Amino acid sequence: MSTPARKRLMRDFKRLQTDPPAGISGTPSESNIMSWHAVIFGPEGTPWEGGTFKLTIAFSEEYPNKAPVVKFVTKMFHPNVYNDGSICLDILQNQWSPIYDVGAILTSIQSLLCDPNPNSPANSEAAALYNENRRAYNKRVAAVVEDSWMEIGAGTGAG
Amino acid sequence: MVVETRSHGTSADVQRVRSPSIDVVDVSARPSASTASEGATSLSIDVKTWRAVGAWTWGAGDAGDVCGICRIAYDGCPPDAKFPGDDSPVVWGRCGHAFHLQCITKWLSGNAQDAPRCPICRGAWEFKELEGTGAG
Repeated sequence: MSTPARKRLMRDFKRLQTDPPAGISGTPSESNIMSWHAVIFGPEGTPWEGGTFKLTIAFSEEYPNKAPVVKFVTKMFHPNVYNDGSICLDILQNQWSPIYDVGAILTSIQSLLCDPNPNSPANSEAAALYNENRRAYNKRVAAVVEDSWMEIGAGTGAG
Repeated sequence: MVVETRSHGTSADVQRVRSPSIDVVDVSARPSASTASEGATSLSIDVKTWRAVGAWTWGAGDAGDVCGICRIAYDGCPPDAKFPGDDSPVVWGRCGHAFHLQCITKWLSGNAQDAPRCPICRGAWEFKELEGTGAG
């Protein structure tokens, strides 16, 4: 039961509780430490400010030698987030390192919000708007931020 | 004289011996004859037995620092090892970054796609040879 991956996740959780990074939160699900729920708060002073974005993180027994699968549950509008919530981020793919923990993953995704990488678009419409019409892009982001509040109310009890 | 030490056949880079605690077990005191002038008395002490205890620790980071991969203390026991200490050696890369041997080995073996890289600096990983370990 207590595999290396599970031990490491216990340590990640402890560290998140004792030394929580600003603007993120993460908890393992009650029944399975390999499956986490997380929330990223939109950074202040950005179009994402005020948003509460929910994610799921699925770890394998190979963690921390393999990256977990991270997905937004909240509907997003971002150049590097696919329609199904999957995230295109190098540190979750070929730039993964076993020194990352849950806190580092969530902090990286949080900084991706305001600092997208237009060279690897997962949402071509968002990428195009980001490059060509920032005002329209920010409006779409504001809509996503507003929608994220609705979900919090509707999603209670979903875990 | 009983001296108990635990030696580990590696270089000073690896081990940092704490100052031994000396426990004076048996002390006898007697007036010294040579200085017994004008009522002054001095004592001399004969140490009959003493015990020294040495301890060693991996010289990686500060006390309580953890391996970046498993997040367990360098002095502790990584997930794949049964005992701390000799069974859980700490190794260095040429870049100067240290991990439990078990942890870095697992990482390197799981990444066959390209050259082995240090998890911290992403530089090419090469084990640093420690002075005094000998080539054989």
